[in-house]
Amino acid sequence: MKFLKNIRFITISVGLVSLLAAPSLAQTEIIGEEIAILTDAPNVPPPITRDYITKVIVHLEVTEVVKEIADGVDYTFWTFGGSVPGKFIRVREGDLVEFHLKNHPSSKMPHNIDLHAVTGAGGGAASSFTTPGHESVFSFTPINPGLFVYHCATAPVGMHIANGMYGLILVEPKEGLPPVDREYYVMQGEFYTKDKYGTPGLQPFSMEKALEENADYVLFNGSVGALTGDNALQAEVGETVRLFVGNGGPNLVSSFHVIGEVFDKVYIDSGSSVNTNVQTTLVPAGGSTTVEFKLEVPGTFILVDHSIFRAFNKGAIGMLNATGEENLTIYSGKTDDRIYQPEGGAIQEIPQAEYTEPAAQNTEEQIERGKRVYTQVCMACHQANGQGIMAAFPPLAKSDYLNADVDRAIQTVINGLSGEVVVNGEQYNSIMPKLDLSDENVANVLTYVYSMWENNGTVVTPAMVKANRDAEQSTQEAAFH
Amino acid sequence: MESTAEMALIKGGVYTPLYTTDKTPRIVSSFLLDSTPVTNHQFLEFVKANPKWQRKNTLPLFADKNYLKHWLSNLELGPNVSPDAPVVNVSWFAARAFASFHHKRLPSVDEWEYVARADAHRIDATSDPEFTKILLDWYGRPNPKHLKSATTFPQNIHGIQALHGLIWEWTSDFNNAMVTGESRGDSGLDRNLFCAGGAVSATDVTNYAAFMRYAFRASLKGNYTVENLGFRCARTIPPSTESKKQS
Amino acid sequence: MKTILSLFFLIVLSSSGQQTMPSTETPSAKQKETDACCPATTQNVAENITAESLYNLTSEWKDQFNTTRTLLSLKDRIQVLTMGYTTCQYACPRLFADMRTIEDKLDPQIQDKVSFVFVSIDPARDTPERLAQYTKENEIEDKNWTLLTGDEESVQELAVLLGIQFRKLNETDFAHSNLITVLNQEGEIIHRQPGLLSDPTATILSINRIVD
Repeated sequence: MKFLKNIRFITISVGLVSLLAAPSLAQTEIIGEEIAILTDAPNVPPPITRDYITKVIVHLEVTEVVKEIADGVDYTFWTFGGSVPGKFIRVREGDLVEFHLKNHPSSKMPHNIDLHAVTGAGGGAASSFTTPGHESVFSFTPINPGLFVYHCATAPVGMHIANGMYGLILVEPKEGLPPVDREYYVMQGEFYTKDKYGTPGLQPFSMEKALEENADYVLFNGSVGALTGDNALQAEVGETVRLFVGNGGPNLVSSFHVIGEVFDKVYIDSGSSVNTNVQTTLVPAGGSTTVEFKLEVPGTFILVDHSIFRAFNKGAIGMLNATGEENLTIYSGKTDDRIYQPEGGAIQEIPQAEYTEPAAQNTEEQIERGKRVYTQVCMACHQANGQGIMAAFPPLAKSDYLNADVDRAIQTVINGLSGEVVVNGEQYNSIMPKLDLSDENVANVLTYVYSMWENNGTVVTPAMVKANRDAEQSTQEAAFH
Repeated sequence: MESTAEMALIKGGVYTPLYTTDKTPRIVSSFLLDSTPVTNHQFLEFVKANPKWQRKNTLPLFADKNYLKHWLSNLELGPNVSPDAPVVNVSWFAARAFASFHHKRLPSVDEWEYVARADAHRIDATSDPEFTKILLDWYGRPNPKHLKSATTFPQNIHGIQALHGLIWEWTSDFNNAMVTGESRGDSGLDRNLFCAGGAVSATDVTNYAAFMRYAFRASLKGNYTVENLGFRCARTIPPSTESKKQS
Repeated sequence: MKTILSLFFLIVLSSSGQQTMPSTETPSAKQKETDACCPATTQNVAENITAESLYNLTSEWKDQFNTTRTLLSLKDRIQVLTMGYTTCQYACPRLFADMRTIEDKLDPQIQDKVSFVFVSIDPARDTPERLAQYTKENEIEDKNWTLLTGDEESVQELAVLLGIQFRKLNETDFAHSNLITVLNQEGEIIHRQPGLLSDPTATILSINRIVD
C-alpha cells in the first residue's frame, strides 16, 4: 500500500497508476475520462449521475487579483480560479483525478494545493508546487467520500490562506447523495487588513493582526455582500436546500447558523454521521459541514457566524430568499402588539380611574374631557392649535382629510395610520401609532378636535367608536400585516 | 549606458539564514555585488555578442519557451519595454552565462540574503516590524504592467538598490535551499531526516518576507523563466585585494 | 519533480566532531572565476544531439583514469547516473548498493548496453586518484562504471538539470538528495528513482522499455 501511495504522487504515467490502483479499491476498471465542471460560489456543479469510476481531469488556475472586499475597499486576493472561495470541484469516490494546477504568469508567488481529499503526504502540496507561468500535474484517487477543503500550502502558509486560497472539493459517495432541490456553496474565511473594517482604498495584508487572530473581515464567499441583496441565495417554499459550507480560516472556527431555520440534517463535519434538528453547527478552520433544510415558509433567512459580532461588525452575513405561500400555522407573523407593563397595578390604576369616570353628559363635557386627552396624547405631534408640523405631522385645524370622513377619523385613532396621505394639498408620509384609548375617550377627543379650529363640529359618540371597532374586528388580523 | 552595472563592496560578516540545520551563524566573506539588477539593455548587448543566447537559438533544456518573451523580437526590445528596466524572463543558465561573460558570477543565497537584511541605515533591519511590513506589502501586490528602473530606488547601507520591491532575483545555488516550499513538509523533513533531530528548520517564523523568498526559489528549476524574475551579478574579491583592504 | 525528490532527502552528518562554520566560498570557485572567459553552458551544434539531451552540456570532467572527457562521451549507451561523494559514510554507500542492485537485476543480454556513472559533488577531495581508489574499494574497476569529477560550476549545473540538491555542511560533509537517474542513449532523462533502498522494479522496466 505504501508503494501505491508513493506511485500516486511520483508519477503521472496514468496507465500504470490505474492498473495499480484498481485492485486496492475493489472497483471495476476506469471507464473513459471527462473534464471536471468547476463552478464559482455560490453555485455547485450538477450531481454525478454515472455509476462507474472514470478519469476526471481538473484544470485549476491560480491568479492574484485585486477585487473589492467591501464597498470602496480593495484587496489583493490570491485565488484558485479568479475568486474567493476557489472553484467547487465535484468528483466521485474512487475516480482517478488528474489534477492540473496552473500558476498564471503574472503571479508574484509560487503556489501549490493541498486537497484534504487526498490520501498521501502533503495532500498533493509538494507535487503541485508551481512557479509563476508554469503548470504542475499530479493524480490521486479520493478514497474517502465527503466534502473537503483544499488550500494553498506554500510557505508562509498562513498568508496564502489569509489571502483567499481555499475552496471545496466534494467526493460523492458511490451511491450518490440524496436528491435535493437546490445546492449552494458557501465558504467562510477571514481577512486581516492594515486598516480597520471599511477603510477605503487598497488594503494590504496585516501580518500582526493575523498572528493575533484579530480579523477585520469575517466573510462568506469572499466579500461583504457576496450573499446579500441581489446576490442572495434563492429558493421556493417546499424545496429542500443543501448547503455545502466550508471554512477556510485561516484562524477562526465558525458557529454556522441560519436565522429562522432549523437544520433538518447536518452531516457532521461533512462526514458519515448525520445529526438531525440542529440550530447551530461548528465549521472548523480547514473543515466543512453539509446541512439540509426544507423551506416551510417564505421570507429572508439570514446566514450568520453566530459568533455574532462577526456577523454585525465584520461582514459574516448571507441571505437566502424563500418565495411562496405563507403558512400561518407554522409562522403567523405578528398578530398583536400590546402595551406591556410589568409593574402592572400602580400604573394601570390611572386609566382605570379615568375609565370609571361617568360618561360625559353633553357635548360641552365631551369637549372639555376631549381637550384633556388631546393635551396628553395628541398635542406633541399635532401641536396646540392643531396646525401640525409641515411635512411631518398633518394639520387637524381646518383639515379636509378630517372633515371629509368621520369613520376614517375614528379608525385612524383606534388603529393608527401609516403611509401616504394628502391633507390640505400637502403630502405626508409618516406613522401615527394606534392609541390605546377607551371608546369614551376616542369619542371625546374627536369631538373636541371637530369643535376646534374651524372644523365642521361633528359630535362623535362612544357608540360610533364601538361600531367602528366591531367592523374592524373581523379584518383586524389581516390589517396588521 | 554601461554593459554591466557598477559594483558595490559588501563588507563580510556573519548572519543566520532563515533555514538552517543548526542555528550556527554563517560567515559571508566580503564580495562585490552589482548595485542594480541587470537591465534589458545590458542583456540585449549580451545576446548580441552571444548569439547562442538569443531567443531563437536557446534549447529548452537551458531556457523554457517564455525566455525573453516580453521582448518584441530576437534582438529588439520593442516600444513597451524600457531598456533601463531590469531584465526578466531569463533562466538561471542564461543569467549565469551573462555573469560569466562579464567575468562575474551569480551571488549565493547566503550572500543575497546577507545583503537583503539591510535598509538605508542598518546592516540588519529584519527585527524592525516596519521593515518586514514594507517588504510584505510588495509581496502582496500584483506585478505592475511596467517595471521601473532600479536606479529610482533608494540605496541601502551597502549602496545596493532595489534588492526588494522590484523583482525576484536568481542566486547561484537557488536549488540548494533545502526546502520544498511546503512549510509543514519542511519541518517534518528536518525532524525525520536530520540526524540532529528535532531542530526547527526556520530560525525566525515571523520573517514572512524571507519565507516567501525561500519558497519562491524552491519552486524554480534551472531552465525556468518568470515574468518577475531577473538577476544581478556578484564577484569574488581576489584574496590579495581583500587582505590589502583589511590591513 | 525537484520538490518531490526533496521529500526523500537524506542528510549526512557522518563526522563525529562538531561542525565548523561552512564558508560560502571555496578555493575552486574563486579559481574558476578568475579564469572565466566563457559560459560553461554551451550547445553542441556540431554533434547530433537532441534538444532535451544532457549532453548539450560542454563542461569538462576527469574520470577515474585521469582522462579528460565531456558528458558527450557517455552517448550511445544507456546510463544509470547518480551524484554523491566518496567519503560519504551514510547515504552514498547505500546509493551505490542501489546502483548495483539495478545492475544485478538487468537482463544479462542487455547488461552490455548499460553503463553506470557516479558524479562527485566534492571536487576538492574527489580527485581522479581518489576515484580510482574508490572503484577498487567497491570492486567495480573492471565493470562499466565511470566516476567523474569536475569543477564546482559544472557540478552545480549538472545538479540543477538532474534536480539534485546539495549543500556543503562543513569541511567533510554534504547534505544531498538521493536520486538515481536513467538516461537513454541520447542522454535524455527517462526515469528517476528517488530515495534510498528503493524498489528498482520501475527503473528496470524503464530500461527494458528503451532496449526493446
